[in-house]
Amino acid sequence: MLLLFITYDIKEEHMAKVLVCATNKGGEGKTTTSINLAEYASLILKKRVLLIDLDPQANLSGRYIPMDYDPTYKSGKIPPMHPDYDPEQDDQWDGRSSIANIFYGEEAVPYPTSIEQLELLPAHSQRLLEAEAVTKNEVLEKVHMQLKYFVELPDLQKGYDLVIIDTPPSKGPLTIAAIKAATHLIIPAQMEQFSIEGIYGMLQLWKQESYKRPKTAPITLVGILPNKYRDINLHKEFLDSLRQMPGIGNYVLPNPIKVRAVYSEILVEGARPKSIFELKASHVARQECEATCKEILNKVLDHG
Amino acid sequence: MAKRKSFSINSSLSKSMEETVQAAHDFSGQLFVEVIPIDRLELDPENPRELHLSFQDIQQGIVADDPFAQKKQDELLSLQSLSKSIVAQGLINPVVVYKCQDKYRLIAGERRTLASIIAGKQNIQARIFEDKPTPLNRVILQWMENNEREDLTLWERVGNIGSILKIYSNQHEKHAERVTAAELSELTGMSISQAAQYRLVLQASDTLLAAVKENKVSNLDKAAFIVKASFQDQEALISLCYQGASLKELKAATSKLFVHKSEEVPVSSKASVVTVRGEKTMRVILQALLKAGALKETELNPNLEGNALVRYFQNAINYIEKGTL
Repeated sequence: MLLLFITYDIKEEHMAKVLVCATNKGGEGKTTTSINLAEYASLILKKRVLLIDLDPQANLSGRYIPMDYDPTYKSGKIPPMHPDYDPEQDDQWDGRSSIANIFYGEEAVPYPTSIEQLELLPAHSQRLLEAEAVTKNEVLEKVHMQLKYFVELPDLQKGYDLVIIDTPPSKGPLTIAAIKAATHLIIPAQMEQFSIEGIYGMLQLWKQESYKRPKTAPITLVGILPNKYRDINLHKEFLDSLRQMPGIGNYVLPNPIKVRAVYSEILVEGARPKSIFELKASHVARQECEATCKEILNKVLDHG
Repeated sequence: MAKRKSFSINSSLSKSMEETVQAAHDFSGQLFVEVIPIDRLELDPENPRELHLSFQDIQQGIVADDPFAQKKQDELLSLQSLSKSIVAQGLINPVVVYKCQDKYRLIAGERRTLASIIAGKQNIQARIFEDKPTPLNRVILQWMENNEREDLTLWERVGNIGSILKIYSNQHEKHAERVTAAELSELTGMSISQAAQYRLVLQASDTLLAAVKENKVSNLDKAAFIVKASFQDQEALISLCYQGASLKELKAATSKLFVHKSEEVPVSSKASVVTVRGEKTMRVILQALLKAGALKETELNPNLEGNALVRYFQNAINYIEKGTL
């Protein structure tokens, strides 16, 4: 098994950064942003990246591994058999591994992807939904803290430079768990009314978490990413309003990601090229995406 | 030609977002909970204690000839249930401390610390402040801490608010009664209506305050309601309250009690003066007071104006009320 509970000191400069992409509003581009950041970090920066899919919809997982449909819950997806699974030797393991395992006190074994430096801990729809539905206080506290303990495991810290976590569109236990595990937070948002309210919701979570962090291990708000941007008055004026807000303006990332067909096309199964970063260097979408990923990852990987 | 559409983020949402980011910066790390050894905790000598029981009394036993032995035994007994809950569930609310050289001084959580020692704990969860909080911050923190407690009496809550008002009004050079409900609400995080009720209760008659102290009136809504009644009616309302009357029943009783209101005007030791807005009015009042020998000086400095005049006027009223500036 990959993850063993071995304790030894890890020097602070080798600590993996944990970047969480979150907003409680759906459709803001959390998954696409997580994908782009993970692929930029692994393909372009050659960093060792672990992608974690905490969203029960499991869309991110499906991009990298062929998810199976859960026979017991029709709308749910489960990870496929792990390529390292050997039924002869692994009699304590059913061969499937997801990030949901950690909420049940089980090991989680990352899957390799077609990108060499990128590994994935996929979602398990039903098990994540169960964790998200927890309300009993003592269990809730365990769910909140489990991901933090997991990303702090020495083997995980040693194995990756960057962990990127995609979250469900909620402020529930899974999103809170991700925020507690995070060293950095990015909030993608469209420049529209409900989306701005979503930013406020996330800022609240960030504030609460900031209060509770020791000064030596803060949660850094990398920024608000204007996403799915169109050249219409509504988007322009909302973006201007955000940029002019005292205290908020500094957090608005300079390069909005525009609505482009190519962002959806590369997500189609079997698409060629498979990644934005396999497009020609002069392609407008690649340039736009690279500028944003560079801006974000400079802050994450170089900062503290 | 159609008018160009214009959009902006509404002011309430943008204000809330700005406040959230500011608060995140200002209070970052302030709720961080650490586990510290109890033997490195000490009481803050500047923080008035309500308990006689000390850490040593629990660790070494209460000395028989201690003049407060009985009181300490009672306090020890009263900590048993909290101690049992700490054994069963751990400490739910961490104590609040600040660093003082190699020790930690308690800002809030004396009972929790004592109960943890009784529970046999060596360590305790604490929120740690790097620096000593200002007196105002300390009383506000104590209020925030105490506000979470269910066992705190109305008298203790009123006392907490009284301390906040006293320190705040001294800092702002104004009488405590002049601190508005909105200011109190902003300081403590309670609603303006609740803040207004506390202000009312703090200005209650001695009879009502005594009843609050004796826990005969233990509910803020009821106490604030009784404050507004005439003095004769207050005693009857306190009595009803002690018998368990609800706020609704108190209100119903008031209509009957107030029958003699028109016969006798209640005597009050307090009077609310209208706000004095103009410098001219202040000068006239001050000169009249000086002439009557009510103040220390005999003449008004003609150069006083603006804020300096307002401060002088407030101090003059304070002097007449309290005999000190």
